[in-house]
Amino acid sequence: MAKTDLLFYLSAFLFCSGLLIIFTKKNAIMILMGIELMFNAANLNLVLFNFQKTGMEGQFLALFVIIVAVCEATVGIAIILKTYHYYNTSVPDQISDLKEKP
Amino acid sequence: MTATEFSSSPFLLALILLSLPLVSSCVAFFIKDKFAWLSPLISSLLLLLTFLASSVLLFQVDSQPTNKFTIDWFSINNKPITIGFLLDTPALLMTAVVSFVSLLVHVFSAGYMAGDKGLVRYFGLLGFFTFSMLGLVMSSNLLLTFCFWELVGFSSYRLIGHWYEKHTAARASTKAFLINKVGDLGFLIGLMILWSISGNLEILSLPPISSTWLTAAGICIFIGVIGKSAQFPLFNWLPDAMEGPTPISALIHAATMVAAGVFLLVRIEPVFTPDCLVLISVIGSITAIAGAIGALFQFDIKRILAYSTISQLGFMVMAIGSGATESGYLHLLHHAFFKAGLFLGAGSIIHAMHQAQHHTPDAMDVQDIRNLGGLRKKLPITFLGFIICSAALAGLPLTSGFLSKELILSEMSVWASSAISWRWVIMGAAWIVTFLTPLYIFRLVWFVFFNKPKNEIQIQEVPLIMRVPVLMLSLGAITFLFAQDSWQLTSIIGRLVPSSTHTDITITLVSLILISTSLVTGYFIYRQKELTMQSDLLSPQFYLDWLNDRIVRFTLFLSSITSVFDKKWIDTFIHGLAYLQVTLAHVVSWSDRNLLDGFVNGTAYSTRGIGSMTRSLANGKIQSYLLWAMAGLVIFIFWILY
Repeated sequence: MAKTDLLFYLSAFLFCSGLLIIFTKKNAIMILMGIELMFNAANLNLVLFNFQKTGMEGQFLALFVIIVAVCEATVGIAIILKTYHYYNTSVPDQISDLKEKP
Repeated sequence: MTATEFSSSPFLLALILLSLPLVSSCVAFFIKDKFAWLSPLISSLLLLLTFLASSVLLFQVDSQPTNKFTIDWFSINNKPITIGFLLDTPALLMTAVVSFVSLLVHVFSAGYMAGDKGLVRYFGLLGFFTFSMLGLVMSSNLLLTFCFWELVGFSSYRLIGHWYEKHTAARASTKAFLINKVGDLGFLIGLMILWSISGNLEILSLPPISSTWLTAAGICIFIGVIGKSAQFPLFNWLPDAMEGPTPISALIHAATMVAAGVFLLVRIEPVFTPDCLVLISVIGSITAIAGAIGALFQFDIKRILAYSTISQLGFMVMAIGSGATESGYLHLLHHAFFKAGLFLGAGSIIHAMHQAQHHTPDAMDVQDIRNLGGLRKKLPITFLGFIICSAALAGLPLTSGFLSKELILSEMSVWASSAISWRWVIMGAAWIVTFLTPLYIFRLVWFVFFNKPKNEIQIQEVPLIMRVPVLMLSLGAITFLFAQDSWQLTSIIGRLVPSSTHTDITITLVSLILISTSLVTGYFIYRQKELTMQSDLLSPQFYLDWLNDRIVRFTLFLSSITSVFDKKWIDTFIHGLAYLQVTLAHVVSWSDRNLLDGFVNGTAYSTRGIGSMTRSLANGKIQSYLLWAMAGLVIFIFWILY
């Protein structure tokens, strides 16, 4: 069981590093990558929790999540591209149309 | 009253009759100066229509079932005030006379005023003047009468000041206006009193009740008459009003302005209580004598006529005050004809002299009778008209003036005949006026027409357009038009004057003796004499101007005293009060600034701090939103778990 414990720590590490990337990186693409890391942390958890019971639901759910994540990445990158075309930048800090103008 | 009934009744005609002069006045505003010659033409035509309409109304008046048409104007305290026409015999007679005289004045003015640069304005105002007077005559309500009364005053003010570049004319018009205002104020107060005691201003349904307040109302309204009809304390505007064009003087003196006052007296005669009538007859007799004496010592031809008007108006007012209302009114109508004739005749003389003067280098005052003389040969037609009108004024037999004067004198002798009383004084005044009138008019006629010519200038008779009005007016001054039993007009006169009134043969004889004595006296006084005597008493118009001046000065003195008192005491007090207030205000302002404002500002400051703190969270950066969301989530999770 020690081996799975270690993997839980790995999952937590992955989630936290993804969160950190999201909060700290300037570029939108890097943020998207952080999100992917967090997805993978969640997948790992799904697989690990599945070991503790009989059945294959966890593994299959993980597979679905991977597919959905691919779609999500496509849509996300498309949005980022459109934003880049519109604003000439992909840095979220410089896009502040919704902010109240001083 | 339905629309069809209205259109078939005389009131539609009356409305048209009233609006025609107004149309004439409005048209004048649209005539360019280039087409100024159109103005007399159009105005005279419209006035001719007015005269025809008034004649039709006059001859129809018998066959009309109702003579009153009113509509509600507004109401005070549920008591309606109406406007409308009252078309009874006195009103329609006056309407006819006013429109007739006004028509002739229009025609005369076309000749007299030719070439004047204010011609269009002149005819416009002339129309407006006629309109105001016709409205005054036909109105059924005293308030409406008052409105037209004011309009008459206003238009006469404008017309007297027609030559406003002339300083004296401008002053004279202002004087006429202001003095009239004094009277108008009395009239207005009288109306208020009348309204408050009876709640009714309809002319023919005025209250027969007799009370102190009614006397007060009567006196106040009579003050209005004093102003408008130039009676004793307020007559000094009338001689000054001679600065206006002569046809205007004719209109003012004969039909419109001054006649309005006497007409009003006749109209509301039931209002006057016996006490009030005493005042009226006394004022009338003073005016009559003062005017006659004034006319005796003037040199200006127009001023003589002006004083003569004052005297005659006083005579009428005296007659009305003595109960001879109908005869007084008849005299007013007759007076309208012969006085308009005299003024237009004077206008012809002045016009002819002016024309003649253009060819001579030496300038003189052509209105001064000392400069005139022997015009009988030079102006025969004018002389004829003038002499007939003068005869009517003097009251010679076979003239209209004789008729009404005899009626007045006999009614007054009945009124005064009882025991010896103050009424004899009034009667004596009437006799004195009867004696003085032929004297002053003889003096005028003698010096203008008979005496030797003073200078050899070529005088030509005035144009036809000016001769005809004078002749027509003098025709109106001849008896047989008005006599008791000849022409058709007699029926109207017969209605106006009760048939019980008979002229007393003794009175007629006495007055005839007086008149002939007066004429003989005049002949012997003035036959050889050169006019040099100038009475000091009369130059400033019986010291009335002086009196006015004194009153004004006294008022000024009083006001200067009050002003000193004001400065010394009241101002000090007020200043102290002001200083106190300013100090108090400073204290209040300090506490306001520092305490109240501090509190308010503090609230605002703290609110702003909190606001900016909260706002800094929403800084438009997605990642910081995420961070805070995540923090919230973590807090939420810990909340759930522990």
